[in-house]
Parts: sequence; C-alpha cells; structure tokens
Amino acid sequence: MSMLLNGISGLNAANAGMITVSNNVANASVDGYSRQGIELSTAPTGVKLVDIDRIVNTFLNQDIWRTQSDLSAFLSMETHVGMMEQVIGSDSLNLETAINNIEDAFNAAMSSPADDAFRQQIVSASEGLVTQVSQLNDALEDLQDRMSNELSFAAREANSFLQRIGELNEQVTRSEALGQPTATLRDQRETLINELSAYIAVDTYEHADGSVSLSATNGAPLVTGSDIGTIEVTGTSVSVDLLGRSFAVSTNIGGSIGGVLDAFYQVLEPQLSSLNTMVADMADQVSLALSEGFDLNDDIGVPLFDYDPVNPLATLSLGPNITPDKLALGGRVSDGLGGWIPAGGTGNNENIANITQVLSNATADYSSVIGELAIFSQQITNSRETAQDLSDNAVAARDAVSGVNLDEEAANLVQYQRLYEANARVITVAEETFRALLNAF
Amino acid sequence: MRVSSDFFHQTTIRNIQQSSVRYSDLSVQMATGQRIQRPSDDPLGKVSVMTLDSQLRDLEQYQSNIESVNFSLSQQESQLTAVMDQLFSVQGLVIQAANGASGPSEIQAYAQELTALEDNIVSFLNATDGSGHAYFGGSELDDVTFLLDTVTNTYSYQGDDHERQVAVGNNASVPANVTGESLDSGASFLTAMRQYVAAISDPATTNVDTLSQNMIAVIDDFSARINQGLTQIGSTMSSLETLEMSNSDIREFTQGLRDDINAVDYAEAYLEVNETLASYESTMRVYSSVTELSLFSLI
Repeated sequence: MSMLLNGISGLNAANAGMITVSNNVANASVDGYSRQGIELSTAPTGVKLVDIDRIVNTFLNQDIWRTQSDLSAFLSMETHVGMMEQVIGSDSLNLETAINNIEDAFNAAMSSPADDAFRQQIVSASEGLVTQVSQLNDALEDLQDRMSNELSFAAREANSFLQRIGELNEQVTRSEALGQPTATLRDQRETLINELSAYIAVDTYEHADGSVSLSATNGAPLVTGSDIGTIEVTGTSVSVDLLGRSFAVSTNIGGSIGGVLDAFYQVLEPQLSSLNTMVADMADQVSLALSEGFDLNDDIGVPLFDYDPVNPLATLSLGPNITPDKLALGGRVSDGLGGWIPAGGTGNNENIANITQVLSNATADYSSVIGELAIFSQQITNSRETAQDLSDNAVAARDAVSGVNLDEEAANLVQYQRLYEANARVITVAEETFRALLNAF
Repeated sequence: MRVSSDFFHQTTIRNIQQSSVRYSDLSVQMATGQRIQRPSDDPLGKVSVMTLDSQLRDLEQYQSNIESVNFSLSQQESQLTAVMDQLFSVQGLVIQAANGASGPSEIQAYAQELTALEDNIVSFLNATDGSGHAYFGGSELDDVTFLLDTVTNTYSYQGDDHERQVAVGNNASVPANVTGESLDSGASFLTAMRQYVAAISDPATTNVDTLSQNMIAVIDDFSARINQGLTQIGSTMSSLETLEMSNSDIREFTQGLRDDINAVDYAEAYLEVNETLASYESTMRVYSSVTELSLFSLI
C-alpha cells in the first residue's frame, strides 16, 4: 500500500512542479515577476510539497527602486532642460542677435547721427529686442506651466500607486495572519513600489506583520501600514498630506517628480534670474549711457528701455518717451558749474561709443547664460546615461536571480514530466504486483 | 550568471534604440552641415560660435560704415576740389589787380567777377547732404555754416570743431568730416575776401595794388588749408581701403574658425554612420538568431 501512496505523493509533487513551470513561462515577459520554484522534502509516505517559493533577493529589489528613481529623475530633468536649451539657445529666440542688431544700428548712426532714418533704425531694432524678450518670456512661462502640469500628472499617478500599495498591505497582513500564501500579493506590491519609484524615490521598511511602510527620501511619510498619504501639487510646490498633516517635499527626492522639481529649482529659476538680471542690467546701462548724452533737441537723454524691476523679462518695453529724435547720441561737456551741456550740435556722435560698449557687454553676458545652461544640460545627459547603466545593472542583477529563463523552464518541465511518468509507472507496477498477488489465489 | 529571457529582449531593444538615436543624430548633422545641434552638444564650442558670429556681424557693420564714410568723404572731396578751382580763378584776378597795370574799369570788372566767385566758394563751403545737413559745420548740421552779416559785411562760422569718429574696425575709427573750423577758422578768409572786394569796388579806393598784394597772402594761406582738408580726406580714404582689406582678412579667418568649430567633418561623419549602421545590423542579426534557439522547440 505504501508504494501506491508514495507514487501518488510523487505525482502531486510533479504536478505542482509543472504548474509552477507553466506559471513561470506564462509570466516570462511580465516586468518585475519573480520566478517561483517548488520546495520538496521527504515525508513518512513519499514526498511532501513544503512551499511554492518566490525566488527573490530583497536587497536587489531595493537597488532597482533606487536606480529607477534616479533614472527617471534624470530623464525628466533631461527633457525639461533640453526644452529650455532649445528655447533659450534657439536661433530664432536668440537675444544675442537682437542686441547685436541694436548695436549695429547705433554703429551705423555714427556717420549721420542727426539722420532720422538711422535713428528710426535704432528704435526699430530696440522694438525687435522687446518682442524677442517677450517671446522668450512666453516660451519660458509655457515651460513652467508644462512642468507644473507634469507634476500634477505624476502626483496623480503616484497617488494611485500609494492607494494600491496601502490596499495590498492590508491583504498581505490578513493573508499572513491566516497562514495563506502571499507570494503573488508580495510580487504585486513590489511591482507597484517599483513603478511608484519612477515618480518619487522611496525608502521602505517591512514590518513583522508583512506590511511595508514607505517614505520619501527626505523623510516625508507616504504609506505607514494602512494609512495612505496623498501627494499635493500647487504650481511647482509639492507636499505630502498624511493623517491631516502636511510634509513639504523639495528638490533631490528622485523620480520624475524630483526630476521636474530639480529642473525647475536648480535650472529654470536660476536661468530666469540670470536672464532677468541680464535684461535689467542691459536696460539700466543703456539708460545710464543715454542720460550722459544729449538728444536732437539739446535735452538730456531719456531711457530707451523701461521695465518693472519685479519681473524685467516679462515687462521689458521701450521707454515711454522715446522717439527717434530723443535718442541722446550727442556727447556732453561740463558747463563749469557742476552741470552738463551738449558737446556740440546735432551732428555730435560722441555718446554712441558709450552705448555700443554697454550693448556689447550685454551680448557677452547672454553668451555666458547659454554656456552655463549648455554645460548643465550636458552634465544631466551624462548623469542620465550613468543612471541608465546603473538601472540596467540593477535590473540585470535582480533578473539574474528572479527572472525567468525559458530554457531553464523547459529543462525543469522535462524533469517534472519524467518525474510524473516515473511515479505513474510506480503506481501501475504497484497495481500489477497487487493483481499478481490476487491472481495467485 | 543566469540570463533571463525578458532581460535579453529588453537589452537588445535598448541597444537597437541607442544605435538608431546615434544614426538619427548623425544624419541630422550631415543634412544641416552643423555639428552643434543644441548648445549642450559642445557648450564651449557653442559659446565660441556665438562670439564669432557676433564678430562677423560687427565686421559686416564696419564694412557698411566704411562704405558710408567713403561716400560722405568723396562728397566733401568734390566740394573742396570745386572750392580749389574757384580759388585759382580768384588768385588769377587778384594777381592781375596787384600788378597795378589795370585801369579802374578793369578793376570794376574784376570786382564783379570776384563777387560771383566769392558766392560760389561760400555755397560750396555751405554745401549740405541729401538730408540738408551741412558737410563742414562740425556737429552743427542745421545751421548755415558760413553766415554773412550784411550790416558789418563780415562772415561768421556757425559750426564747431567736432569731427565725427566712426567705428570702422576693432578699435579703429576715422573722422567722417572736415570741419569749417579747420578750413577757415573764424571765417577770416571769407571776411577778408568780402571786404577786399568791397574795397576795390569803391572807385575812391586808391591802394588797390597794396590791398591785392595783401590779399594774395591771405589766399595762399586759405588754399593751403583747403589742401590740408583734401589731404586729410585722401589719407582717411586710403586708410579705409587698407582697413577694408584687413577687415575682409579677419572675416575670412573668423569664418574659417567658426567652420572649424561648427561644420560637420563629412568624411568622419560618414564613417561613423557606417559604423553605427554595422552595429545596428549586427545587433538585429544576433537577436534574430538567438531568439530562434529555444529548448521548447526541441522537446
């Protein structure tokens, strides 16, 4: 009789093996699936199926989450900084050319400073710069809106992952308590954490009851047991709300949320402030140079540009009183009483050299803004490539342990098939032996 | 190490993607002829290219300044040459008046002719350009350069001594005008001539020969100044010619430098395209032959 029972336990084990293989094969292309294997041990009668194991290494999974966060942070930074580069560095929005045109117009007026055509050309070239600055500003504002939209979208996605992770936490805890298998649930939870870490980097802690707590890398709690946080986005500021408390989330938090925040606070804002400073400086310096000269009516020069100091880029315009005849191209001399008088008549051009000097400094400033942005963008691309390699390595390391290899599964399938056949044979032999015994009487 | 089937597919796909990104970068480079498609491709190169572009635009502006200065100077040259021509006639008449051989009626005829010549000289010196701006008034473009006061019968110079410096090269500028101040300071010649003509027109004047002797010296002095003006114009124009040549040399050099930085080296790019294509192709071949292998197809 024990031969029959042995055979049946063997059949069951072989069945479990083949089911496991078929499950592995079916899930071979599922990202984050951990292959399963059967654990057998000897029993009083035959063999016993101890457990169906998930073949995983937790540390390798955490590596994946971390590198995944870095990678998506750099990817989204690369995208946004790349767009910024296209906007600021593009030939059509190149402020350098626009400033150069004004400089050229002033230079051209040197030979005929009183000629209205040349003066009009200066005003038109300046209008050109004003238009370009306003287009540049619009483009940068669009970029800012796009960043804010992407943050909201990423937060919505991340929130749905947090929700599902919280739910799985409950299910795992319940199944653990009931002694039911949790492999699939844990697999799902790991996949969700992996996908979540593409939006925001997380630190994980697994509790004894099987639930996992998640927090952002700056310590803001995302999930604690079954309590689920919500990521809130207002413009470009992000916070996590959990149990009525709000935790701020800033730069360097990884994931695409972190990437957008980094692109905004570490690149766009400094660039905007450089551009604002550059535009304001240029306008101030040109106004100063003009105020040191006299116009066609022998009046002290009025500003060519006007702007609101709060946001020069958005508000740059031509000076309210500027007309071609009010361009102060003429030089000045001391009147001997501490004041100034025109150096000569309308043909005096001595102030032009001062103005062109200012404009040529402004173009140099603009090149350095572009240079800085380009170097930053290049660094981000390099970092993204490194992050890609690290992420690939992490995935490779995890897959080396947990991934499905179809050839291996084929071999296992053959092995379990033979095991099944052998045990079936054992059962037939037992039956034949039994029958032979019966027939002997 | 175990290689999972999924990982193998993912890696292959990424390799193919990388090859195609490189291939598309190269083909854009070759199509546009520009190596730097975006600033981060070569930050320092981009900044250099921007600086060089700005230099090229400056050079263009210098070139057009040179042309306009040349035009204005040649206009002034014609006016001064015309003054010179009139002055020769004046000189001839005054010399005749000075030799004492002319009778009173001849002196009257000289006086009439001299009046006409004086008017011509004044009108040449008061010449204006197409916009009505005086050539020789310094920075006073809208005033009559040499103004006659009919009460005192004297001329006065209404302009100043401002020479417009025009930028025509890096750190190079040239004067674009000759001032009346340098041609006839204080209008002394014109006044002297006016009063000389008035004096000899008066039949009561007896010392015509002495007055004429004195006038010859004044004319010599004035013609020397006009000649100086012409020389200044001539030397400015010839230095403009030299500057024009050196500017065009600099432009060629700058353009060359810019191309060195930004232009695509087609031979190199072509080789790289071929390399990329070869690795692209071999990746796909390896992928297709490896995927054909499966234990499942053998059991």
